[in-house]
Amino acid sequence: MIYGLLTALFLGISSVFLKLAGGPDNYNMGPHAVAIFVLIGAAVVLVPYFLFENKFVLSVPYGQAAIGIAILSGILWAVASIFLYKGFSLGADASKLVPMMNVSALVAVAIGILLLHEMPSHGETWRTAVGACMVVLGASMLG
Amino acid sequence: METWLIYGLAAALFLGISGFLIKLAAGKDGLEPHVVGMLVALGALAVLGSYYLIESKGNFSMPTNSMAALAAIGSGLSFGIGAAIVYNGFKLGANASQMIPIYNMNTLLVVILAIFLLRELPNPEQAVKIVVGAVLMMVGAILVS
Repeated sequence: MIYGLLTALFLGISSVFLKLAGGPDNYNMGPHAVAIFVLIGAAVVLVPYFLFENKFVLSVPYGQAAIGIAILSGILWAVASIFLYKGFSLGADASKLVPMMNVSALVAVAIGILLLHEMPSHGETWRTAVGACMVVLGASMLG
Repeated sequence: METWLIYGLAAALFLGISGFLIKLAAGKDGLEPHVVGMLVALGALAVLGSYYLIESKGNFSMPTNSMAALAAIGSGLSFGIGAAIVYNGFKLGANASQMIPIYNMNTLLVVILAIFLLRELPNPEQAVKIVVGAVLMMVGAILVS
């Protein structure tokens, strides 16, 4: 729970900084420049975190599949980020664009059902359906 | 449909797949959180580095607006810290269905900060619509997670 709340805090601050850097009404930096500076900031945290935790050993004793999945996740996150930077560069409000990211929850559920055959139980089906309707309704109000 | 909305939905699509893969990679029997962080950074480097090289069209001069650069670096720092925390949470055995709704609360934080710090709202009617829309999306995401 504490980890979840801390993550929410830092991701929220991160999104506001993004808008500040790339919004045309703010500092108006181009999306590609925003990308490289965000990368620098993230590397400043994640590289030392890896080195300290891995006791300055560069090798990782894991299978190629696990490593490939983690790298693919980074690739997809970066593609998503580019769309986000472009949205901000067009002048989208952070208060509209960032809530739109909640649609990603529907994507994750759809992947779980389609690829992993994680069918929700009878009770969960209603919850999922109501939640999906709320996400769509919320998106239509923001868009 | 406005272009920014298409970008937002496209970002949500890729973010959804990325989040799903993170859960696979960083789950209880998966990689250590610090390894996930490094590998995600490598994947991001491949895409964002290429994007920068292509879009800069050979002009690698850095923007002169240092405040913009600081804001973007601040965003990356905050993302890196948030990411490291969430990988640790998954490693401790948190279910995606428990973790995702909690960190999705960042939506409300962004709406509040955008309203008060970035002064994004032109009129009270639109303010109500945005807050209600954001809350609906957040609660909806919690229900489907």
